[in-house]
Amino acid sequence: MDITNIKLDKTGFPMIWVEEIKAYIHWLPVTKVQIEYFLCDSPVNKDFNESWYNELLELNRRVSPRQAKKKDYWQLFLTGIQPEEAQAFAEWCGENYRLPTIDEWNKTYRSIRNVAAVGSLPADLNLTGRSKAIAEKINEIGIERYRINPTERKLVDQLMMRYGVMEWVEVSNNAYNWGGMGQPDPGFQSMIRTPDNGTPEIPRDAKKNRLRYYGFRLIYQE
Amino acid sequence: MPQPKCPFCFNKHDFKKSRKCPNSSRKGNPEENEEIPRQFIEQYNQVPPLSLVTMGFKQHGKTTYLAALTMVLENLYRILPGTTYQLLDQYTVETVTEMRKNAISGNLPNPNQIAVPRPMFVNIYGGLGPNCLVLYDVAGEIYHSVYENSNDKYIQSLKTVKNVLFMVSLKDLEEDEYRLRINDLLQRYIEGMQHLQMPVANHNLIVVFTKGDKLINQAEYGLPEKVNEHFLKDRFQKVTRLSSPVDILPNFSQDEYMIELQEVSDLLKDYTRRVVPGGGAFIDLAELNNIGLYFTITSATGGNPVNNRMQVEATRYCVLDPYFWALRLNEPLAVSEIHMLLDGTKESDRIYTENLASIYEELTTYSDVTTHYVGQSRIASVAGQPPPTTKPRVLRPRLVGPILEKFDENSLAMVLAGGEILDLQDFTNSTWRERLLLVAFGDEEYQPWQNQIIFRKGDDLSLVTDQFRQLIITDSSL
Repeated sequence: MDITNIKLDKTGFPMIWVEEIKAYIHWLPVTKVQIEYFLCDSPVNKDFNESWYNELLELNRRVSPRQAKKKDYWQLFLTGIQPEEAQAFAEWCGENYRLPTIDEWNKTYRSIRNVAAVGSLPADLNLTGRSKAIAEKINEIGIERYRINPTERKLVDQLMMRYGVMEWVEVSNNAYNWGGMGQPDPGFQSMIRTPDNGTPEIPRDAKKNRLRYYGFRLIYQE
Repeated sequence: MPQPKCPFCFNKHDFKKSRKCPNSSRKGNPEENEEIPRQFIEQYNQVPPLSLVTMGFKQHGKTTYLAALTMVLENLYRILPGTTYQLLDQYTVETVTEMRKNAISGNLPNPNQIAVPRPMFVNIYGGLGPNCLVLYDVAGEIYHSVYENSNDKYIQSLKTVKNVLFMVSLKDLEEDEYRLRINDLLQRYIEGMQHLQMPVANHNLIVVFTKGDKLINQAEYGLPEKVNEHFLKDRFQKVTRLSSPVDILPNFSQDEYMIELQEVSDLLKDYTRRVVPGGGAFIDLAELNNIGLYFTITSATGGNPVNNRMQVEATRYCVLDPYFWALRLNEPLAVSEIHMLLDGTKESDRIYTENLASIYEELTTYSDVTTHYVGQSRIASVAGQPPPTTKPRVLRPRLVGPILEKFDENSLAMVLAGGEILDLQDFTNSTWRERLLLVAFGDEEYQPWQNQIIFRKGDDLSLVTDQFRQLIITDSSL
């Protein structure tokens, strides 16, 4: 991963270059703020209207970036979304945006699993507005989480691949073609699993039901 | 671009149809409506109005001052080459002709009678312009007693100005043994504005101590030396004495002059607090109400008239000083655009039962107004187009962030909502805190927001526009 090679997506949120997959990947799981640009900008579309968003907010409420705390910061991220809906967001972002495959997600994760967190990172991203507020808040919460053993804090924690949300990834070995990677904060969704073993969670009835702890991030690959 | 507001009734009309004000009848001919000068409307943005309203007790020199100001501006080309003027309607021409006649004969103008003041329109071009001076001379009698409802019609002009000429003759207050005090006049102003449902905060009073010739260099008044010096060395004092030579000031700097005026104002403020009976209470009451005070001292005639007639040709001291303050305090609002954001969710029906066009009309007097539906970046009505009267076909989430972030930093927004705006709190620490008015349609607020009005059933929409005007004034003063 090259943390000096940054690209901003259509909403002004950062993506970081990952040499191992030759693609940019979102710095954090996609936030509600990002999806809100999509909702406001998309053409008149009955699929993504007030009731759609309210349905998602009922699963995981919204918190303002500066008001987020360790006990509710996952409310910054968009969850409850289904993979096809996330793909619609990717299409809106532009060409070459898509959800990662399980392989791409794992390669990214492994490349930074043992890399120490970079203290100057939020500032280095040169962000503005709400993307900056979110990056700073997440960093602050991460520091608080590892206050006893700061050296244990790794880049995967800064990118919220751990203690973030469960993220949709494309898999090819099940009928649904989608699985989950990552590890939510136990305050949001407790589970005895880590991304370390590289196997995705395959949710049951995902097509029928929204999963409150499932979000996503995108990659950009030319 | 800001749209003209009628200088007679202070509302908006369709000026393309007619320049006649449907709400005001012509002075002396109630059968005919007042007509707004063509240039006032057509050059509204190139020659913006500078409205001046006088406030003061009877015979404290309001009418004489306005006549002197008009005369000085008319002859200012003698000192500031390139300064010229244009009288915009017949009433103004007749009034100025009368003033000229009085100036030649030495007669003082007759005090204004109680009536709805009819404005004069004078376009000023050159170094001190361009602007269209709109002068309202309000009769002083109405300020002598506690404010009455029947006075509303006389002071409507106060609605339109941010800066009031607050005229006080200290000599006359003294001769009246201070039965009326400077503080009483301020109370009348505050009461009047309350009657008009207008906020007073961030408005300015340009205090004009009139008849300064009776105060300057008079030991018993003890004006600060610097004030005496400024007054006596006024470089415009002889401008109306056409037989007297004057020094041309080709490099006159208004900015430098304002520094001097600020110093004089500070000294006079201190003097008012220390020496003028009721002066301390006056200043404290103004500050309590967040009203700006700027002090000047003038003499419209330079001496005492005898039987209302000047014995010598008038020398007019510091007559331009209040005008300079008005120019400075009237500098164009830094508002580039105004955006109305309309809730389009299920709970927003009530918003569309209100006359949104009337809010739009009011806002267009300040700047271009565009309309968006909340939750939709695409514009719903462009500048010059009234807001939609119905909800959007597809209901959008109650979001404003992606819309607000597209606007520039000099714009203002009014959000009309029937429920909580999901992302408004994201902007609590941004400049939108001072630039956005949230109008919550309901019985209580849906969320905390600094600039917010709860609009209940039966409330008058003027509450909303008055509150928004406050935002404009604050933004401009910043």
